[in-house]
Amino acid sequence: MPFAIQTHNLRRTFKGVTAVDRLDLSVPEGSVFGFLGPNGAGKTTSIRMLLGLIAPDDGDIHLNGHDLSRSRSEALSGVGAIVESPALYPNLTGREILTLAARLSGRPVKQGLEALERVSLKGAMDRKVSGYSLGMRQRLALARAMMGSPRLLILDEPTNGLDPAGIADMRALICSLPKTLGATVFLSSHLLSEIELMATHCALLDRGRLVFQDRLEKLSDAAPARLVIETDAPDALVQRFARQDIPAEREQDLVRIPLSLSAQERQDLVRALVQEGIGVSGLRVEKPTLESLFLGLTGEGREAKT
Amino acid sequence: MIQLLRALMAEGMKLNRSLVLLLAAAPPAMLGLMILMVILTGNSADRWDQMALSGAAIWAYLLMPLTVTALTALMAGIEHGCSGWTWSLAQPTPKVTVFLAKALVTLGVTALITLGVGVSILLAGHIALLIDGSIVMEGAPPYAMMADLMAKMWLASLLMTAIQFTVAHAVSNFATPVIVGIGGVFVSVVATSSEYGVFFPWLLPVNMLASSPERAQQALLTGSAGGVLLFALASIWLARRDWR
Repeated sequence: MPFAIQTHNLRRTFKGVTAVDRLDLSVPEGSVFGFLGPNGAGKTTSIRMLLGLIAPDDGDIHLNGHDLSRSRSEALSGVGAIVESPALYPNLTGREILTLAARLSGRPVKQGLEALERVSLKGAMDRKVSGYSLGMRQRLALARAMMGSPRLLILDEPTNGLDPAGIADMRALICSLPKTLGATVFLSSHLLSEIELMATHCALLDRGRLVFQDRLEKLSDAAPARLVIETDAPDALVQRFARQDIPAEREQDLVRIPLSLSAQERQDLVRALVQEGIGVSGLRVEKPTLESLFLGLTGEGREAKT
Repeated sequence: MIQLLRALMAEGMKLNRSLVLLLAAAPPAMLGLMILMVILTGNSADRWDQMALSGAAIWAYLLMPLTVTALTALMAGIEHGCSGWTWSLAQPTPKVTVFLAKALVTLGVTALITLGVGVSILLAGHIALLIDGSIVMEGAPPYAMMADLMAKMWLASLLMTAIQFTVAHAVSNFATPVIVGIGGVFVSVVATSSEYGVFFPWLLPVNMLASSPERAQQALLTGSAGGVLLFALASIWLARRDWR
């Protein structure tokens, strides 16, 4: 399988603290690859190494088949990126930002205008960037990254700081990129829910180390969703499930069981419980959190935002 | 070479509507206005060459180091302010080319400002004569002397510019390069009469006015050759360091 990004044994320390530790990434071409991890896990350091902004202490990086350390220009020529913030010059207009990018890369300026159209910013292209909203800046940065139809887009937390409408717009735009550009999208986030909505593949980074890397659906095996039942008789309910060999966990008046029941089976379960005299005051599906994923994958917890 | 030209165009574009352009216009305007006032109030030398030399001395001794300090800090701030490095250094263009282009644009702007200062000094003399017909300036306007002097001052300033350029690009805050620049000017006051003053980067431009031709020649060589060398080394070092 061809890979848009391949790293081998990538390592970087800062003043004795290991930020990235033996990272072996394999990002399949054409995928939307979620790079997931809590704040401080080493995502941005990894991305900066991928773009040659930081030199690794050890290991190698291949972008679109080119070794970054040996053929930097070739490796980066097919890459568009946004790292952390949009990095736009506020004294310039949207059109000038893209003209500047076109001049630097030797591309026709026309490609910049096409990219502006793709992110619906053509109407604002002659306004100074300092007057743009954060959402508009993110879209402009994405337009700049998309110029020349790169084979690989590296986007570091692209929805950070956006309002809900801006997040939805950005998400739709990112999801369309493999189809419209034929590009691989490498997307970092500390939000599991965000990656679930966009990615086909994902990797999980914990304290600089890769703890998971596969198709997204495989991630749910590590920490499956659970059914949470709110009841007035939790002990009786736990005993009932034990008799059926269903592992159940009790937390006050909540009982959690693995979500293996269909919607119909859940209705039947509630009906049966009520008939047995076990009151059910609530029933909901609990999705795994980043914390529970780390627990499932590493066997130990850690503080994480979800 | 083509990549350097592209990078130069890109770096030039980044200055559009920036404070750098305002700053570039200020020294010629300020110095020209000051000389005009001095002549009109009768406090200027009554010879063209002496008047021009006084203006050039103020430029080289005080205004040029401060201008270079502010200019390099502002130009580096264009990238520092918006984390522009994460874009400009993640392009296929070699990083050393990006910094060379930045250095050349900086030198181009300082050359334009120096040219503007030379023109404004002489222009101030002409305007003063037009405003007040009673003013007498002996001799002819020293166009050739000013061109030669301004060019030498600019060349001698390369080392100081390279130091300010390196500090401003390496450190992301505005204060550090400004402190270095103000410190340089401050030490200049003390070092002027010292025999080692000819090696002090912030004093090299004013040494173009030294009465000893050897001293002026030494300062010109130190400033220009040292500047070119430091610009080259700084570009390589900045390209190799981490951009976090």
